Amino acid sequence: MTEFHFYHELKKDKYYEPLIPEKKSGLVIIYLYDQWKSGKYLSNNFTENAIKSAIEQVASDLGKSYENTQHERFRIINRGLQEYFLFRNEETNLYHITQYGIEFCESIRNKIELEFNPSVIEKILSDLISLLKASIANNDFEYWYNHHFQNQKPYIKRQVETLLKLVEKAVQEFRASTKSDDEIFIETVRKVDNSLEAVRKHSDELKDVFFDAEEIKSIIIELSFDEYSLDLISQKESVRSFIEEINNDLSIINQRIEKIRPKLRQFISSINQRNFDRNTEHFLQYLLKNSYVSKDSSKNKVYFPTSIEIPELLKSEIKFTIVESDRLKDHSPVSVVQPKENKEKQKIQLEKANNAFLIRNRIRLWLMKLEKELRDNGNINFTPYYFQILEEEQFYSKTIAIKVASGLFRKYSKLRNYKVSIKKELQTNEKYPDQGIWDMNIEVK
Amino acid sequence: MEKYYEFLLKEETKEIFGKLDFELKSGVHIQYHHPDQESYFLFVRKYFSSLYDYYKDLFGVILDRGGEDLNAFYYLSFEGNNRGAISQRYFLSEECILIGLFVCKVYNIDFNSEESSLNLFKKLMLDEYEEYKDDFYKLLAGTKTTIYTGDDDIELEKSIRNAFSEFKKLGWVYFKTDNQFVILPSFERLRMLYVNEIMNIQEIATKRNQQ
Repeated sequence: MTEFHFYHELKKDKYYEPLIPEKKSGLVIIYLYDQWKSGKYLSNNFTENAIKSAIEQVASDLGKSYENTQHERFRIINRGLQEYFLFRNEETNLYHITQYGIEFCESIRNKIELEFNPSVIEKILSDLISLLKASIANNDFEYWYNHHFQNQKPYIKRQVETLLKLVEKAVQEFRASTKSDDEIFIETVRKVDNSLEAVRKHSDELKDVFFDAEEIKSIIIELSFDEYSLDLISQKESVRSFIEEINNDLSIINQRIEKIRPKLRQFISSINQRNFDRNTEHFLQYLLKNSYVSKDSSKNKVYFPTSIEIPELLKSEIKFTIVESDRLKDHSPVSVVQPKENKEKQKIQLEKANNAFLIRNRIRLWLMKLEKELRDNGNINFTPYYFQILEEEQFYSKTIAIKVASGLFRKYSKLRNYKVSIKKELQTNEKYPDQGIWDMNIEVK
Repeated sequence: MEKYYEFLLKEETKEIFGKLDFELKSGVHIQYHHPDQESYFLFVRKYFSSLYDYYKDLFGVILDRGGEDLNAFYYLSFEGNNRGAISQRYFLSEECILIGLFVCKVYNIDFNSEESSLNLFKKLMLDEYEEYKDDFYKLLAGTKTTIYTGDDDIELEKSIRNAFSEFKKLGWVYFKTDNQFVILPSFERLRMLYVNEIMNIQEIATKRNQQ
C-alpha cells in the first residue's frame, strides 16, 4: 500500500475545488439541506427545478449579477456540485445530497448553532462504557476504539467547545454594550451575567456527567493485552489524554467565568452608584426648588413639598439622676453677705444718669423742632442750627449737636420721599473756631 | 436553652459597653474612622449578633449597619413604625437635610476632600456651586431677591453651623477644631434614609408637575 499524503493530494485542483466549494456553490447545498430539514421537501430528493431555483435564490441573495446567464450558471454550479455533493439519478432525473454533503452541512451547522445537551453526553458515555466492557470481553479493544470511541469523540469535544463559545459570546456582547447608554448597558450586563451563570451550570453538569468518563479511564489503565502493538499503546494513551483534556477544558471554562462575573457585578454596582449619585443631585435640586419658607413664631422655617417626609432618627436623651450621698449631710451655715452702702459711688451714678437723661431730652426737643420746620417749610438747612445748638445748650452742647445731626440724617436718608443732600463744603462759625460742618440740607421730594 | 447575650460575658465589655450604650442610644453612628470610636467599632463588629439581640429583645430597636469593611458604621434605628422603648422623637430639620444632602453632593459624589472646614464649605456653596446658591439664600436666609447683604451671609452661616452641630451629634462628622471637620462614612446614612425618594425622583417630580 502506497503511503497517502493528505496535504499533497488536496493541493490538487481536482480535489480541493470540488470538495471545498466556493460560497456561491456551497450555499446552494446548505440551502437545499435546510429546505429538506425544515420540511419543505419530504425527503432527500430534489427535482432539477428545485436545484435551479436554489441556485437562483443564492445568486440573488449574494446580490451579485454573475456574468453568466441563468442557464450557464446552472450548468457550471450543478456540474461542480455533482462531483461530491449532489448525486443525480439518471433514470428519474432526481437529485439527492451525498453523505459527504450531509456531513459537510451538519458539521458547519454544529459549529454555528450552539446547542448544548448534557443528557445526550451522559447516554453516549454510558453506552461507551458498556461497549468498552463488551469489547474487552471479546478481546476487541481496537474495534471499540476505532468505531465507537472515535465516532463519539467529536460530539463530546463539540459540546465543550460550545460552552467555550458561549462564554466568548457573552464577553463580546458585554464589550459591545459598553458603548451604549446606561440603561441598555446595565440591562446587557445583567443578561451577560445571567448567561454566564447558565454556562457555568452547564459546565458543572457536564463535569458531573463526565465523572463517568473516569470509569473509562480506569478500565483502560487496567487493560492489559497479550500482545502489545504500538497502535494499541497509542490508542490507550489517546483515550486517556482525551478524557483529561475535556476535564481540563471544563475547569478552564469555570475559571474564566469565575474571573469575569465579579467584574460584571462591580460594573453593575458602579453604574447603580452613578445613577444613585445623579438622582441624589436631582433630589436636592427638587427640594431646593419646591421647598418654601414660612414664618413660624417669628423665625423663618423651611417646609418641604408635601410628598417628602422627614425621617425620624433615634435619639434618646438619657439622663441619670443620681443623688450624691454628700448632699444629704448637714452643711455648715453659709454667712449672708450684706452689701455696704457707698454714698460716694451712688452720687456719681446718679449724676451720670441725670446727665444722660438730660442729654436725651434735649436731643428729642431739637429733633422735634427741626422736624416741625421741615414739615412746615418743606426744607431745612441744618448747618446754622448746628451752631445754634452749640450756642443755646449749656451742658454737653457738642454731644447734643452731633447726636441731633446724626439722628436727623440717619432717619431722613432712609425715607424715600425726602431728599438729603450734603455738600462737602466746610461751614464754620467764628464763635467756634475749632468746629466745622458740611453744608447739609433736607427737602421734601 | 436559656438565652444569654454573649458580649455580656466578656471582660472587655466592662471597659466599653457603658459608654458605647450611651452613644448608640444618643443616636451616634459608630465607625472606625472616628478617632474616638475605634474601640467601640471593633467591639460592635466582634459582638454584632449578640448586641443585635440585646437591643432588639430589651429595647425593641434595631442595631443596624451601613457601608462596607472599614467604612462600615453601626447605629440604632426603629423597626418600621415600632418605636420600641424609646419615647422621645427626634427629626432633623428641613434646613439640616438640605445642607446634609449638599454635603453628600460635595464630598461623597464630587470627591472634594472630606477634610474641610465650615468656611470652606460656605465658600463652596456660594462660589463653586453657583447653581445651588440662590436657592440656599432663599431658603436658609429667607432672601427674596438675588442681591445679598452681609446679614444674609450671617443667616446662612448660622444655618450651616447649626446643621453641622446636628451632624456632629449624630457622628456623621468629626470636628478637629471649632471650624475644621472631617466627613465620616456614616454621612451616607442620610441618603439611605431617602433612598426611595432618590431612586424615584423622576416620578415624584413628574407627579408634582401634573398637580
